[in-house]
Amino acid sequence: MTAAVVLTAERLSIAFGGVAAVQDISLQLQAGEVLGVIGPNGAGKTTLVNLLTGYLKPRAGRMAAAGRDYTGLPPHLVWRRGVVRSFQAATSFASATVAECLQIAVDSGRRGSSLGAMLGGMLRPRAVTDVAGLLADHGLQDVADARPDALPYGRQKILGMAIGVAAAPKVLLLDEPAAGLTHSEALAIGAQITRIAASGVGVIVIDHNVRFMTEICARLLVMAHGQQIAMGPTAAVLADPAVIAAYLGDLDG
Amino acid sequence: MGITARRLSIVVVLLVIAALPLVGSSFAIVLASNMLLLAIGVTAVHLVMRCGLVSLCHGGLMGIGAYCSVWLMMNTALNFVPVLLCSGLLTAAAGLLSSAMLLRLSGKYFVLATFVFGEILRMIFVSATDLTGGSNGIFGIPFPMRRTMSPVELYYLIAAVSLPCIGAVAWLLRSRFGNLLIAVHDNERLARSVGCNTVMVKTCAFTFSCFLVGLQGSVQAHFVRYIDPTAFSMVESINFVIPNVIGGMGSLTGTLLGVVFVALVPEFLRGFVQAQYIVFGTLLVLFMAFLPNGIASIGALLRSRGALR
Repeated sequence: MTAAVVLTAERLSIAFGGVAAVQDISLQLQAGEVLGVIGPNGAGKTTLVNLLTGYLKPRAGRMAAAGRDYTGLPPHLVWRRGVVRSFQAATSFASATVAECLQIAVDSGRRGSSLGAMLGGMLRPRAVTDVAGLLADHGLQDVADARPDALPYGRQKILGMAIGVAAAPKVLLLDEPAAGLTHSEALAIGAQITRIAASGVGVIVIDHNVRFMTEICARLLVMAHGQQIAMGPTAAVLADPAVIAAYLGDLDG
Repeated sequence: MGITARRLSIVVVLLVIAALPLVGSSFAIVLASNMLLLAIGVTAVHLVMRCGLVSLCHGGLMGIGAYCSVWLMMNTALNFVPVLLCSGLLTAAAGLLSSAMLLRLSGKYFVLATFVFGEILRMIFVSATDLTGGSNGIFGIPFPMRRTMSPVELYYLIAAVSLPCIGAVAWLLRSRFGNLLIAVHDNERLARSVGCNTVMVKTCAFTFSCFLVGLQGSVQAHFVRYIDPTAFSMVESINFVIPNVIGGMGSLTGTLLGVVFVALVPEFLRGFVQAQYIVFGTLLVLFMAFLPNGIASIGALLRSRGALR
C-alpha cells in the first residue's frame, strides 16, 4: 500500500453507564479509500463516528490524523486536522439557501478565529466565496437559491454531504448517507462518494444497506455490541462465517 | 428589496433623522431621542438573538455602563468621548466575564440564568450606595459636554452614538461573521463539524452586544440626568426583547421598525393611562399569534398571498 495513511484509531473505547458502546476498535484509513462500517442497530457505529470527530471523548484509546494525535480535541479543532463528518438526518442550515449553506460551511472552516472574523467583518463586508464549483460538483446548481427543506430528501442528503466537502476535509465520515433513499437515489449518492474519494479524501461510510456498501467500499469493518467482528476486503468480510452469524445470520432466520 | 432600493431607503431614513429638529416639535425631538437610545439596546439584544439566545440581563449590563459613565464624569476631568468608550469597554469586560458562565447554557436555561444575573446586577446597584446612591439614585448628572445642552444638541449626540452602533451590527450581520451566526443559530452541531468554534462566536457576539448596551447606558444617564436601579431592572431588559419579537427576530430592519412601534404606541395611548398596558399587552399577544415572524414578515406574507391569486 503506497497511499498515505490519513486516519488511525487505536483501541478506542467508550462506555455509557457500564454498557460498552465501543470497545477496542482500531482502524487505519488511507487517502482516497472508502471504508465501510456495518453492523446491526446498536452496534456502536454512530458512537464510533462521534468519537472519531470529537463529539464524544474516548475513555481509552488514541486517534491521529496524518500521524498527528487529536484525541480529546473538540469538533472544531478536529476539523483543523482535516476530519469532517455528516449527520444521519439530512442536516443543513435551515434559514439559508443551498448556495449560502455551502458558503457558510466554507466560511466556518476557514482559518482565523471568530474574533478575527468579527473584527475582519468590521473592516470589510461579506467575503463572497465562490461556491459555484461546489454546486456543480454535487449537481445542485438548479436549486442554488432554494431553501434546503424545499428539496426532495435525496437531494437534502446530497446537500449534507456537499456541506461536509465544502469544509475541505482530508477525512470525511458519512453517517448513513443512503438511509431512507430509493435505490436509484442511493446509487447517485454512491457515485458521489466514489468521486469524493477519487479526489484524495479518505471516506468512512456507515450504512445498513449491504448492497449499497458492497458497491462503494473496498474494505469493511463489521461491528456488533461495540466490538469488531471482522475487518478486511469487502468480499472476504461478507463471506466470513462470524459476520454471517452475527449480522447477516438474521436473514436466514 | 434590491440593493439600490435598500440604499435609497437608508439614505431617506438618515435624512429624516438629520432634518427632524428643523420641523419637529420639542416633544417629537425627545421622543426621537428616546427611540434612538432604545434602538441601541434592542440592536445589541438582536445580535445575541441571532445566535439563538434570548438575553434578559442587558438592562442590568446597561447599568454598569451608566454608573461607570456618571462616576467618571463627576469624579474625573475626562471628556465625554473617552468616558463613553470606557463605559462601553467596562460593560464589555463584565459581559465577557459573565459569558464564561452564561454561554454554557442555551435555550430557556440561558434565559433564566441571564434573568438571575440581571437581577444580581440590579441588587448590586441598590446595595453599593457609595457608588450608586442606592435606591435614591444619583441626581444632577452633568450634561455630556460639560455645559448646558439643548434638547436638539442632545438629540444629535444620541444619534451620533446610536446610528454607528446600529450600522456596526448591520455590517456584522452581512459579513463573514454573520455567516458564522447563521451557522450557530441554525445548527450548532453541524457548524462545529465544519470547523466553527461556536462558543467563540457566541462569546464575541455577546461581548460586543454588551459594549453597545454600555454605550447606551452612558448616553442615557447624561440625557435623563438622573439614574436609579429601577432604570436597569428586568423591565428594561424585556423592553429590549419586545421590539425584536414584534419586528421579527431574523431581521434587523424589522426589529428597528419594532422599536418605532414600541416607542410610538404608548404615546397614542397617553389619554388612557390605565388601559395603556392592557392594549399594549393585547397587541403583543396578537402579534405573536398572527405574525410570529414580526413586522418584517408582512412583505413576504403579502407577496405569498398575491402569488396564490
